[in-house]
Amino acid sequence: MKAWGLVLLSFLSLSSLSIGENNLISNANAAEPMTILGIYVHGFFLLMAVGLPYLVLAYEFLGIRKRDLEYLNAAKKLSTVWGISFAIGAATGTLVEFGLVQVWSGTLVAIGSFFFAPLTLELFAFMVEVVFVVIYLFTWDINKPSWFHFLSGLVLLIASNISAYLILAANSFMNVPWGTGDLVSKILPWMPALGPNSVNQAALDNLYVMLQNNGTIALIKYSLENNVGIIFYNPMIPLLNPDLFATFIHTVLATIIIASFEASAFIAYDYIKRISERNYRFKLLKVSYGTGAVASILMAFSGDFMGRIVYQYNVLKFIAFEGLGNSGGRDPIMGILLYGNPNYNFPGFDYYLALASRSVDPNAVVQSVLAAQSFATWGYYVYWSMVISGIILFIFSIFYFAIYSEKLQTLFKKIFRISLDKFVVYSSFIAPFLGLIAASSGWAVREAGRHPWVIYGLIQYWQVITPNTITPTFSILIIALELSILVLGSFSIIYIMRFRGYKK
Amino acid sequence: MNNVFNAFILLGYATIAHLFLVNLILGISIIIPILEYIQIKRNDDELKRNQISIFKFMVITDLFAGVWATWLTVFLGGFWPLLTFYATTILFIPITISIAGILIALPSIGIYWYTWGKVSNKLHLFIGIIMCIGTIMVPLGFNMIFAFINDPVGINQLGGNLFAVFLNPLYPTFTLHRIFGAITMVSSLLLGIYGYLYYKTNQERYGSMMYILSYIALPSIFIESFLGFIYAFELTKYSPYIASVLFGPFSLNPAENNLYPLFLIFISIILIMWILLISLIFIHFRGKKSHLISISLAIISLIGIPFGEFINDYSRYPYFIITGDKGIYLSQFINNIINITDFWVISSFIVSIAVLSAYLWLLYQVIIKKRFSH
Repeated sequence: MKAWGLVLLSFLSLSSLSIGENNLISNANAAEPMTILGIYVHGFFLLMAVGLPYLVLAYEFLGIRKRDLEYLNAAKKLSTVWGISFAIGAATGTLVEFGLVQVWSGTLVAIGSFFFAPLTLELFAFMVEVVFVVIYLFTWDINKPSWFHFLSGLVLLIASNISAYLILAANSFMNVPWGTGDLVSKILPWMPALGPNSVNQAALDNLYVMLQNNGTIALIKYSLENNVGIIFYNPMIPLLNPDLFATFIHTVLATIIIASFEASAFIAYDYIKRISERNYRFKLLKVSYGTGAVASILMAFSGDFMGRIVYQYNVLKFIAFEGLGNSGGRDPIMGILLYGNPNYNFPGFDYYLALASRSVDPNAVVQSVLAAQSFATWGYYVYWSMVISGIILFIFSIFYFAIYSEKLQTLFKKIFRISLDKFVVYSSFIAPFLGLIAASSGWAVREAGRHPWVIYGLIQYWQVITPNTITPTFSILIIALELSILVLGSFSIIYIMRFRGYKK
Repeated sequence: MNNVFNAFILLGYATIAHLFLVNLILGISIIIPILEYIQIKRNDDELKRNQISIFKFMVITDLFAGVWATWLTVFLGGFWPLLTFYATTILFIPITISIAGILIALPSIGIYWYTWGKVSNKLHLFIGIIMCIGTIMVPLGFNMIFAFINDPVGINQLGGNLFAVFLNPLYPTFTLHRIFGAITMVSSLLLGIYGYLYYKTNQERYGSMMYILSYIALPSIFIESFLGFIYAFELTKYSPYIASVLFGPFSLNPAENNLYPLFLIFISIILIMWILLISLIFIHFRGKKSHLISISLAIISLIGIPFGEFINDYSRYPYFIITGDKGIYLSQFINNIINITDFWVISSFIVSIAVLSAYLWLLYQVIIKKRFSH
């Protein structure tokens, strides 16, 4: 039996293991598609779980306040979708969670340090969510409206938003490693100081060097096995990341927009199909479309806030999606927004490439700029598809508010030769797609724009991949499962979202 | 308190809470399709009513089990990243089987619920069987972790044959023991509950459930006990440290840690379950009722699994991985790159207990007292 101990201890030393950089890069590239798809599938259901409660509670609030059973009926119907989205979101969350610890196993070091407080606190929020989802869904009785029931939904909404904040804290740290002081600026010289220094810089410097030719095994071995000591002194600091504030507001508004307009599309469909129930459906549509419209207008301000953060902390991403190219140049709108000067000359990739000589790792600068240049070739279009979708939704939303003024309604009809009511009904079919395009494009820009870094300026994506080979069979199996969940989950939601007429 | 102790306590807490709930889910997932098969054969609507209420209970349990699964994963990754890395790397295949199982089980639970009465009986039963297969796949994979930390077979296969871990001699017995343990727990619990309801209401729908459950519980506890005996014997051979901790004075080598008294209590629990189960079945088949035996059986069936789990986990202390008559200490796997302060332990206990208490209080107010009802 002692032999086992020796085998195990020699394995733990990992001295004989060496996985080449090229193998790890190809392994990481093989794992990326299933990971990206998994996160999108998770996000698709989660956005309903975070965004839909706003609409459900709006209906319930109106239902209780006005003693209106039609609103309550709609709230109950939508809360089932909320419940299903929550359950599928939790299931796909498991997939993402295991994807992290099993396929991208180097992230365990981040879970054990930078992400520790956000993820552990999220456990508490998640527990509150589950308890209140059960209470909320199982105590529905629309014939007896109750503020207690509404309040339980409100607690659930707050818990799900706190949960989103904490999960996004981990993601924001990946984009802007807040709390690392000037550490990243030594590697990427254009980076500002990222908050107060809460890390053991010497240990992370050594870790950075160790990672250059090695992947996960070196990461685990160095940081966990070699007892380098505490590397992160203040686990709460990722919660104060300025990128997190912007990302959270931006993400929650996006979820409200998509969920509200998706509900609007289903209501509008039944509005067209069931002529006898149009008043009922238009009443519901005004609330769902209105919720989406308010969020779409707020999104314009949130987008501005987000853009400023990206410019400050992920400038290469900014250059890529603004199409400023190698030599940079003028960008009148951005010039006015950021500097109040339409003639401001933004530097391009060449400027940042020239800063390589100031870096402790010039190769990291070159890799970052090359990745941003490559991202620019498609990221520009993806980014603008997000912006244009957002602008159209903004215009739809402004039009929607004209519904409350007869003069504006008449004016609208004169200009567009369609009644505003009809416009709201028909645009309900376009709006959710625009929301989905904007959200998925925005997330793609956010994530792909920091390539090749998994934690910006510190750890690259291939350095956290499992040393096990990701075979095509494995990828296909996981992708098939992800697609099955997406299809089955979507059908369930479509099935439930069909608003049947309210029967007294 | 130090990092190792804090992390150990939290991991143990989450593990026991999670496994208690997943055993309920596993048992119900296996029993539900059996009940549905009988229901279709007999065209028995009363049985369907019972089946629906059991299934509802499972859905709520599943939500809570999911929460604890997340706690467990974060605690493993956050406190024991080194061990988690080795486990996810070497046990890549078994863990993938479990994940696939979760991904099959969770949507099929939803589909099973929403297709009730909307598709043909046979198709619905088929969906139930898929749900059952998905649920069984979960312990098939995850039990390898327990088998592995008791006897690390396949440890030197990184980059080699990742299927080598399946040669672990403890794995088959341990896994089957766990699966039959879950069936025993759930069928005995339900037998106790229906026995009590039958006593209180005298409704035949409860009596007939008792009849069906008897045919599940009795063979299951027999198989579970037999496998438990075999597993104990295997431990002496493949994981002698654990055997010595459990068997105390009857072991060949005394261990640093002695759980012999607790192990005796566990054996007593199983024996009491046997006695209560046989008694209840016996009096039921003779046309009599007993609320005392029914309640006792329901309670004891709930105690068995967490108690056994506690012994199973604590028997490795102070090691994490057992290598014969010794092991690798917990401290070798602990996360040293952050401080695991008492704050995390205290807040975890307070939050989980406060939230669950609030939940139970609200349920009591809503269901029993009919307060806050609309």
